Amino acid sequence: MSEPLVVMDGVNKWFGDLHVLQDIDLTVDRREVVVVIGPSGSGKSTLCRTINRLEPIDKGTILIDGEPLPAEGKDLARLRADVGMVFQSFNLFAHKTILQNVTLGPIKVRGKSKDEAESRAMELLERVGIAEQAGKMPAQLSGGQQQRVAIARALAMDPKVMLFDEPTSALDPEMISEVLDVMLELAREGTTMVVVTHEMGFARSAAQRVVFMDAGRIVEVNTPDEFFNNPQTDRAQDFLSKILNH
Amino acid sequence: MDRFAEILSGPHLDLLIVGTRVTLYMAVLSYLLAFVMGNVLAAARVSPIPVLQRAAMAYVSVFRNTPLIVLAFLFWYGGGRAGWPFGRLTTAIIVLGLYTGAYIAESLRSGINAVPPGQAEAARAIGLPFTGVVGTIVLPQAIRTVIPPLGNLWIANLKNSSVFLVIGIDELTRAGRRIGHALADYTSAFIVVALIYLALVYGSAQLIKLIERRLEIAR
Repeated sequence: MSEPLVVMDGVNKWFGDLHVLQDIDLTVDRREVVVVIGPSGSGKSTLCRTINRLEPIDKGTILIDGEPLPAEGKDLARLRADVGMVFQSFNLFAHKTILQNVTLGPIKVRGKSKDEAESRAMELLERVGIAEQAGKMPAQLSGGQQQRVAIARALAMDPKVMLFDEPTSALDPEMISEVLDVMLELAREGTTMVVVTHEMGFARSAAQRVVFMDAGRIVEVNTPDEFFNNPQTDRAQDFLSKILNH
Repeated sequence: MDRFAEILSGPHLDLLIVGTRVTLYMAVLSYLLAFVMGNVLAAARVSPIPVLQRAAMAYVSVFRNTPLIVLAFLFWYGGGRAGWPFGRLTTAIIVLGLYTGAYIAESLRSGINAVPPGQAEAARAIGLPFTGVVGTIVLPQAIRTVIPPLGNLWIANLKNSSVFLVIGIDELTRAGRRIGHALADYTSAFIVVALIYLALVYGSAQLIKLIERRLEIAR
């Protein structure tokens, strides 16, 4: 039994008076896909962002691969390099080409040579279907394409775990599936993933566990089958009835 | 017309050429120093370290709230007594650079505010340290959004170099004064000097437009 990759223990966070994360305990095992769902304002994005300390926490501990998250500084930067993150709004570096977006981390953080970083980046861009656009600027690509580049950029760091913070929420409907396809492929290959999403279809087909959050708490954790067919809590039943009855 | 022909020939022309050259030399070197200072100060302003933030703020308020001519006197005469090691021209370049640097820092700060926060977050998320986040991602984008104000500061910096005639720099304005004195005709001398400044500023404004177009980023 290998030790889990991400361990959150008694995590609490406040935004002023608002208690956005309340006593969060969550472990993510290697090669596991955990999908976090819940109504907006439930704290699911904040939870995701605490894992690489883009949001610092006020109480509790978070371990990545057995190491506690350090305070802001060189050690934290080193640890963040091992945690890939994909944002809702893509956040591709606007003044860099697609290829440079993907090679920047490997060159500047991992110290790889330009040639090595570029050949690996082209492999990854090939994998997400954007190789022909490598020389373009981010603004020349569609949202779906930009998000796939963002996934390639995160993968280029060879991260131990990938965090997805509502990766399809800013996309036009017809572009959602091209991003989900890439994510499903990653899940199938055994990438460790924490995915905050509203895509229930993805949760059903890719997740090993579904985490349901409401008002800053984890209310229910279960397999997708159990969660969607037989939710245990009133809150989860209510949430599912609202999103599935259309 | 004879008067202008007189100014534009012989020793007067030599004075103007040397003066123009010194003015440009001062303007370019001081602006380079100002640009470096501006970037360092702007980075300090957004750094997570309170001491650096406060030091940068103090610097900007001192250099923006003091007349340039006072700084020139202070560094050259005051500094001379206190063991300031630099010569006249070097002192002028340093003082002008430090002064314009405060303004560049403020321009860059507004440019930094225009960069979407997600850019810095994505840079932190791939493991760049603070210097990398600011130096590789935030400042290069901030600079692109403030090229017009940076261009204005270049023009102001070039014209401000004339202040340093008060500490005896043989720049363009001082050349004009010497020619005006020699010919007992300040009007003609300073018309020529003004036209040279105009040409320098107009020429650089065209260059700035070119740079702006080259560096533009679409979002």
